[in-house]
Amino acid sequence: MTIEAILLNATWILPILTVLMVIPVSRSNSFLIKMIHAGSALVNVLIAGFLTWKVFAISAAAGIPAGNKPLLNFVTDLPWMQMLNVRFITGVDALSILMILLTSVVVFTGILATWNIDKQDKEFFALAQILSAGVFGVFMAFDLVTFFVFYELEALAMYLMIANWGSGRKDYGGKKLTLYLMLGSAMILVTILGLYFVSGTESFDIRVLADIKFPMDFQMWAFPVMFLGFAVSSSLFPFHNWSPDGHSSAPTAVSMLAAGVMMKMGTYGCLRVAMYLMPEGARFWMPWIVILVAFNVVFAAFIAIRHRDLKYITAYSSIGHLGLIVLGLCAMTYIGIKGAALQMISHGFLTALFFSTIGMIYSRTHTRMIDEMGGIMKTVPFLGVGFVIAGFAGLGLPGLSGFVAEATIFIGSFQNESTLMRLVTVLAILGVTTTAVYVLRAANTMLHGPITNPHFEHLPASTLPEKITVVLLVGCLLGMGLFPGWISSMLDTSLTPISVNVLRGTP
Amino acid sequence: MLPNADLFPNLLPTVLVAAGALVTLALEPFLRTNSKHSILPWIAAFFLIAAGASLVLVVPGNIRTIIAMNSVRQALLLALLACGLLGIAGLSTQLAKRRFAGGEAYALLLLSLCGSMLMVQSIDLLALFVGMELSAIPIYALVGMHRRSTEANEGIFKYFVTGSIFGAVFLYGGALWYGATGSTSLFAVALPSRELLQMAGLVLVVFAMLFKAGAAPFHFWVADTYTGASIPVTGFMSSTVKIGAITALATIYAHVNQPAFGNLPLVIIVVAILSLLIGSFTGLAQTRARRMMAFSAVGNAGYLVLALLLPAPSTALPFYLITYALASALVLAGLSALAGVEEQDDDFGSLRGMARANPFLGSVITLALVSLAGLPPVAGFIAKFGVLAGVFASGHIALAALGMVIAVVSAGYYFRLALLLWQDPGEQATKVSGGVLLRVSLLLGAGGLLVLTAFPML
Repeated sequence: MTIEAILLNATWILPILTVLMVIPVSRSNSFLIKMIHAGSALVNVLIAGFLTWKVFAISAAAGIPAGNKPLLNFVTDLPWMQMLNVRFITGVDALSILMILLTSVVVFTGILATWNIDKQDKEFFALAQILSAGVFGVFMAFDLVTFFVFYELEALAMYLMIANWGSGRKDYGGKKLTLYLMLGSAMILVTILGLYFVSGTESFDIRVLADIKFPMDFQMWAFPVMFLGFAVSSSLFPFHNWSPDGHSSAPTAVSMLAAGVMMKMGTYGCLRVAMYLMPEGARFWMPWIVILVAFNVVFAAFIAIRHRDLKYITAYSSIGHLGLIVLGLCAMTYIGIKGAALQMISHGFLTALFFSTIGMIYSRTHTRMIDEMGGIMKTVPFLGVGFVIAGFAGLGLPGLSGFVAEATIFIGSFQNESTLMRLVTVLAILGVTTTAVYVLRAANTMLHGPITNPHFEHLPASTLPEKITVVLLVGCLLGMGLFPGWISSMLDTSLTPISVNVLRGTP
Repeated sequence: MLPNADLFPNLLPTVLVAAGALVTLALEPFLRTNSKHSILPWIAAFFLIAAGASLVLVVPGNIRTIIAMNSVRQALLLALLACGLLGIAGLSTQLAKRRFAGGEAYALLLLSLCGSMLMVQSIDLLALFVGMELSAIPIYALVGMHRRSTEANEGIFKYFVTGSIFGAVFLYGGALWYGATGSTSLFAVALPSRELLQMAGLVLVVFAMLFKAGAAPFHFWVADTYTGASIPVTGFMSSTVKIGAITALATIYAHVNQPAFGNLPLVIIVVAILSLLIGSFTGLAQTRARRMMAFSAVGNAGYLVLALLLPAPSTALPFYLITYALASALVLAGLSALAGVEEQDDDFGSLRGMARANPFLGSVITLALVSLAGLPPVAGFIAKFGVLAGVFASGHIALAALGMVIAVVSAGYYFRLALLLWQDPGEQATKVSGGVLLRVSLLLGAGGLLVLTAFPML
């Protein structure tokens, strides 16, 4: 194992070690607890940054690999369950390391944004760290069972967090989320077993399975089952309705992690496992799935207009944006897939910014109803600006990352020549304008105009952790929006080989 | 060197446990009530740990025709000792809470453990019977220990009567077996034209083992006996008896390859389906931890019986057995500290929020419940995965799918308990200590579960 491989695995081991480290710390010493967690999350950001830079350097030097396998760096390959030849395989290509970087930033800012949680902070941060361990693991796993194990670890932590710390109908929200996720995982597990046995390779290694051309009748049932399993966590219509309830009842850090990275795990799994291993099944089913996407993109935007609760608005906006990712995947064109990957990263940052500023505003005004607020911009301008920037990135303003990603998706999906695909693309573009309606209206009602409530005149100014959160996330959005080139060229080294498989047999 | 010189090291763990029983029994009259529950458990624990250490001396290989030993049995014996340790620790907590006057319970528990260890090692019907009765009789006493409790009386009555009947069933089956083969060895082959007789004997023996394992439709005693016993005893019997019975069952089941036993897999499949359905759906309706764990025992018996269908060299069955037994023993040992000693103290309502006041106990119980629910990454998932993948591979795809659905259903009740423990209790939940021994053994057990996760014997 190289030092980089150890560092890579450290990103998921470190959170767990942190949890163990914090156990002996007295509950009353809450500052120390938070500092340890924030410190470990910061170390993870640095590790992820370092590894991203290494991968960038390696992929720039090596160029785009030929064949259907992305260049996998920093591989760890250990035997795990010998009877079934399950191995513990981790490694990163450009796509995974960018997702890991995104996760580390969201976790770090999530901890900062939840700095003032007063209820059982010790347990809360511990679960947040365990959740992040699961997410890191998913993005680096290259063995299907390893992947699944990490995928489930995160679902468990998510359930406990929402059920314990949520506000409002938290039991309901938590149960709904968990039942959905468990249903999804059962579907994924069945397909993983199917892939293992049908392939005849006695291997769960994605790299080995990528060379198998699975029989069409297997792909015909396995692809939709697995795709829908993943779609649950990325809240594709009709599995979307855990998301608004879950988010509205979740604490800020949970919302940031759920929308920022957890929902991406579904789309990541769709691309990395379902479409990569079963492209023929994907091609057959994509026209049907794109109909679901149309619901996601159009309905979510219209429902968001109706809502007055900021968290519901943002949750529906996330559903819409996730729909765009799936639209990119459905296009089955290289540019579409690339747009989907860009959107996964971009939306991770922007939704984290969205939820963190909402959490910060809520902790001051104690309401999330936009009608009950007004003139916030005058008292807490910093948070107001953060919210507006997140909104602008969400509606695809050029210069921010959302534009880069969404434009790429639309180009890619319009390249697909089927009428249905083009129709949905046009609808989706209209959906983006609808996004502008609710984002601008929320910003307008909430931030501008006279101060409606005398209580709002003396809101506390933003604290240092909040400032770090907002500045870091805005920096990421701007960096990706203004300089998309390096991410784009880096992604090419990973997506080109993936698309060799995904697009095989297309005219 | 004597031909059976290696018999001693192979029986050494069992002998040490029996010695522990005798020592605690001999010391018991000389101790005051207060010190009984602080000194005796440590002595028992010492002998259990010594027995665990002596497993190193064990020489794998078939010994004579009565006792067998191999690496799988070694692991099973270690798991048995761990469950015994958890049982002793939980028992000391509960008996100290009750200020129970007698200290014989520790000796009884160790003797029952000897019986289960013998069941794991035996490859002979008579040794198996001795082991089965040795494991059962002390448990009758342990369940009925608290004479004034009506629940305990109901539990012990049901278990004693049905247990005796199935003891007789076993003996009758054994007699037929002996008549058919002229041997009591579990590997005996029928004499010419007596295959049907052997089949009859085998079926009766299998039924007796299924009864011990608590598989449906032989599960009628499980819920009441588990509820009647005090919580640590429930934990002890749910884990050790199951290890003994299922291992014996697996040894017997090796016969199924003979053509005369063609219908046995069908029986096994029916038993598995019934156990899975009853264990999961009835379990959902329970509101008490012990009753819930009783139906969990039935459901898990279903998975274990399903694992019998896997082709021979599979380690999925023993691995599942070990993870289940350890997790079940952990949950109930932890609960014996969290819950009071009254009959209704394991009611979900009175457990609410207990983990918040006792995060260590709560975390261990939660970990074990997650393992039981079969959720990654804890060992229970790997065990279920191994079994279901094996069932899938051997062509029973519908059964594997049923197993997955049932896992989701039963996860519902494990989660309910886990969540309940962490919920807001309303008023301040009581902080309990549980004692050093309990904490140490819980730590060991939880560590064991994590080690099984990282290095599964699959």
